[in-house]
Amino acid sequence: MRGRTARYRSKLRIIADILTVINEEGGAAGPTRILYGANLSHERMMRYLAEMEEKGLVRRVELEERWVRYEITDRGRRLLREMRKMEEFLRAFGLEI
Amino acid sequence: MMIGWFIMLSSTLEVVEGLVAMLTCYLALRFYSLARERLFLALFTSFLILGLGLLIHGLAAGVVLLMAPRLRLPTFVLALRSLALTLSICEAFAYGLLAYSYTRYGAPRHGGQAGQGVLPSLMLMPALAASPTNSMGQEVVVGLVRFHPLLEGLILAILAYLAFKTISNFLSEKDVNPFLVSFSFLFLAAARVCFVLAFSLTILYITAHVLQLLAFLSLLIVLLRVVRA
Repeated sequence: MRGRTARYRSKLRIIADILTVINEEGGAAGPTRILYGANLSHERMMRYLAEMEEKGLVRRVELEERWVRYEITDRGRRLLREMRKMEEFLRAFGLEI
Repeated sequence: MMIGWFIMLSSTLEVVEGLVAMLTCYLALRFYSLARERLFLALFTSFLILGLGLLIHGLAAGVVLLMAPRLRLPTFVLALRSLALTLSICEAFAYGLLAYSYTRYGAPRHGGQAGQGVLPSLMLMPALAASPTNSMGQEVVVGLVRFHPLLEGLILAILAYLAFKTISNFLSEKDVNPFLVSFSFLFLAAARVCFVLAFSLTILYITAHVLQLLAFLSLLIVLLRVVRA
């Protein structure tokens, strides 16, 4: 089941949720805020953040020892803007990432 | 006369279809540049090859037709047969890659006449050379713009799979865009049936091209709707 009756989020939707949380926090957010905002387990969130950092969607900033924040990049902001189009494109074809 | 009419129709429609495929390719590239997801790369590659195949075949066949008075008949036939082979390979690869994408990234759901092929056609060339261009049989004309019924059959099998997947998606989503995409692949598959049968019944070649054009126009509507989302 997908679309309006979806019971799970696609990978693209989770990435968008993480970016939305960071964006709403003024462009940078700590792991705890992202974890609650995007409703993810710690392990999953770290996996997603690592992948998003690799793809240039977020930037990891170490402020002090053991204090880390994630900043949204320009590409991340553009992805957030194009999100609806991307989801609609994939939904039309019945594909999912 | 018959050849000219056929190739001009085929070329014009293929250029229009190729442009739609290139537009899809551009959108997939735009999404890939942002998300860096392999699925978008696969869609980009698939529609790029399909678009290039259609554009190259459409434009080059038109050029060959314009140069026809200056070409010897065997050269004319060989040029068109080579272009037809290029198009068939591009289509088989593009649709094959798209089918692979569905096996890997498909959203989870609950709910001829072989004797008229390459060798016989090449063997026909001396006979064609001996006769005036406008006296070519209609079936031979189809053989100039479509390579081989077996290759068309392979593409048909891939398109049937894609039509099945997109129709399943529409039945699950019940929305306009999934409907248009399923309509598009259903018409592409139907067009391919007509292309295969056109080797025996030439009039189906026109039907095939009309169906294929409708399929690409349907895809164009989806793209416009996505861009405006």
